Amino acid sequence: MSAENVMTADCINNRNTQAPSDSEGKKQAETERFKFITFLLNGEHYAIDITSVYEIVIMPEITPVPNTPFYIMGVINLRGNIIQIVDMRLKLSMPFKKYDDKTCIVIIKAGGSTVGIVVDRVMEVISESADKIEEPPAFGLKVDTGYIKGIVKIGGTIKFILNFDTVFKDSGVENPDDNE
Amino acid sequence: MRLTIGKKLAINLLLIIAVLLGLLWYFRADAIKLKNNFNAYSFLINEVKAAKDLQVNIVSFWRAVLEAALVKDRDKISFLANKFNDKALKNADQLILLNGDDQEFIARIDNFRASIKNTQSIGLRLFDSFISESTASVKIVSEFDKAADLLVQSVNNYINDVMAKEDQSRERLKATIENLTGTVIDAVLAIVLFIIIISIIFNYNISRIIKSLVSETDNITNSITGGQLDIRGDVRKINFEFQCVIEGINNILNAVVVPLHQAAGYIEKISVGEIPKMIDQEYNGDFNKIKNNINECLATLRSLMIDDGGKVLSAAAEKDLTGRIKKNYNGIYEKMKFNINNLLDNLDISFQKTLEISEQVSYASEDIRRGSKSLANGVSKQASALEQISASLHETNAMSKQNAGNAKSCLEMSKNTRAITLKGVESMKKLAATIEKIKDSSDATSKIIKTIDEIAFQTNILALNAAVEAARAGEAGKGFAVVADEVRNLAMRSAEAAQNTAKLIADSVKNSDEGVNINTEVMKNFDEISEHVNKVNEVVSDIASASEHQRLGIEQINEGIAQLNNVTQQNSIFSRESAGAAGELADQAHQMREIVSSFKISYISQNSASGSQPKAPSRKSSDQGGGPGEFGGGRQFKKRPAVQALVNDGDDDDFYDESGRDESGLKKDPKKIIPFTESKNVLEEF
Repeated sequence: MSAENVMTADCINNRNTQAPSDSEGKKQAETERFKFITFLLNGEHYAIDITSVYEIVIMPEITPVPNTPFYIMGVINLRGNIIQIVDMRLKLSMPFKKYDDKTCIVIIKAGGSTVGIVVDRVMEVISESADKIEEPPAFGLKVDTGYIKGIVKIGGTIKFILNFDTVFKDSGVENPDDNE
Repeated sequence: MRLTIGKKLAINLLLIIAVLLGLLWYFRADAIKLKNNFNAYSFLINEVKAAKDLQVNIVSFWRAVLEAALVKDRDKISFLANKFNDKALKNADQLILLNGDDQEFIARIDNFRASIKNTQSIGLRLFDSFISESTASVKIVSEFDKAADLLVQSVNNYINDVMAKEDQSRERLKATIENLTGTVIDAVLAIVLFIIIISIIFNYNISRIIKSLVSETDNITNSITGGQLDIRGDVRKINFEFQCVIEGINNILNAVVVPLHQAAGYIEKISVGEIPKMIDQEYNGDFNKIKNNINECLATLRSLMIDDGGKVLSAAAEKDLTGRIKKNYNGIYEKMKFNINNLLDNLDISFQKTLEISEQVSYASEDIRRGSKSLANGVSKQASALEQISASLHETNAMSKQNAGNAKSCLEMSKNTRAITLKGVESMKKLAATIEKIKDSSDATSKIIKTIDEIAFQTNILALNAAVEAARAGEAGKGFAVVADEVRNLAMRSAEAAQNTAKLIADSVKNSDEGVNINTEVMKNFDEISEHVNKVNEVVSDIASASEHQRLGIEQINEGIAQLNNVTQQNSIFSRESAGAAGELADQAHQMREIVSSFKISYISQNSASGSQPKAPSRKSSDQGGGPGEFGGGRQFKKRPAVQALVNDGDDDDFYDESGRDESGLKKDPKKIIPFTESKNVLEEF
């Protein structure tokens, strides 16, 4: 319920934000605007640059792959393409949560390879000007600050913009792509 | 010849003693002769014995010498010779002692002695010769034999002489004794005969005297014990010595009979109802005591019968009960006096009481009369009250009938209620089924809503993907991005609507669940209602039957009231009758009082205030009539018990009871009290 409330609240915000964006479209066009897809992980809001997203998939059947790190759940067949699936909770050292009907896989481009990340819930598309994006704080965060590109504050909620290039830099995820 | 019995007995004794003395004198010479003969005989017997001893000793000596000679033992011979010689010599000496005076005899014995000595010497010589075995021995033996023979011969002769003398003496003694015996027997027989004859004579004489005395005495005592006091003993018939006895008896009789006759005469007079004068004569000792006793008895009788008691009793016979016997008497007379006095007291008290009771009866009868009157009033009131009761009972009966009808209709209604309740239960069951259906359709709806929700979700995802594609398209996809955003908004709205609907459906499911619960509760309530209705049914049927019973009871009460009415009618008759009876009772009490008043009574002085004039106040009170009279009567009743208590304690209780009843009757208003209590009692009985 809380998630839905958040979602509805976001929708309203979106409208509110979009209404001025439509009226002041020429002003905003001068400053660079970034679009993000937001999602939930363990109750926290995270965001990913929309340009690095290929697609959002409703939870398909995952084929497990042996001899892989614990956060790699397996692979899926997406219209003929085999894509690795990473559970972001496990990857970011959060407790595992059983998948439900809201659980989604976001197919992203990370460090030149395509990876599907399992998130609790896909929220919405947000659009922010570059000057609203803040630098991440040095400490006091649940995740490694190296994974966070920046922070966006919308309403009362804080959304961490994840840098998937660093997230998968030292993991075995990139290896297949390297091979390709 | 006038001899006393003592003298006669003495003469008898003296005669016997004289005869005995004569006889003794007569036998004295014979006795002396007998004694002499006997002495001579006993002397001779001794002599014979001594001579025989001598003979034996001599013979023994002879034999011993011969035997000794044969055995030639000189010592033994000498011993034996000496021994027998000594014995023989001793015998000889004895004989000499016996016949000391007879010279011839002494000479003879001396001769013996000499012979014995001679024989002894010869014997000794013989022995010597034997011992020396001289030829002279034969000669000596013959000599010895000769000497011995001579000795033996002389001894034998002597013995023969003595024996002859003894025989002679014995014959003499025998003759003397025989002679004496005959004489003595004759004398004794004669004396015994004499004594017997004399004794018989004296015995006859004395017994004759005593017999005559006894017979005369017997005559007198028999006649006295037979009651003939005039008989006296005849002195002439008696021996002079015992005449004084009979004379004494005659004197005794004379002394006793005279006062006895006098006493008998007095007692005879008393027995025929006369009381004679006192005895004047003087007597001695116990006779005087008899006289005094008779006098005392006469005095007592005179005083009790004539002076004291007689007067009192004759006064009582004349209806005067005031007199009492006052003197003191002894024993049974005192008891009689006490009894007479007691009788008079009792009569006195009884009449007094009778008087009072008759007064009280007259008061009481007056009260009864008044009471009966008020009873009659009360009875008529009772009758009207009974009619009222009967009317109200009719009403009650009608009401109880109505009650029964109401209860019946109530029963019907409660039955209807029960049917309706059952219908309600059926409807509730149907309602439950309907609610169940609603629940099912809600479930189906919620499934649909879920599907819608899923569709909205997928649409959202699609919109996002579209947004992603638009972003990748860059400037070219801007419009598409807007569309995608709109699509996403729609998806969001439909999801929201689905959520709301789902919420509503959940509410409706919850409500229908509650509805089911309420339904079951309602069904339970309906069950309870039907139970209660059943109970109500029972109670109402009970009420119906109870009303029926009540109705029957009231009918019975009605019957009872009818009977009560009859009784009341009878009561009114009885009360009238009782009033009449009370009047009669008063008349009779008056009569009784008059009868008793004719007696003179000792307590009359005390009761003169309340006893002789009791009529006046009572009449006055009755004349005045009403309340004051009644209370005056009551006060008088209160006073009287005090007087009564002084007279006799025994009747207090009765009296107080009566007075108590009277007071209670007087204190309360009779008009009120009588009918109500009676009607109550009668009602209780029914």
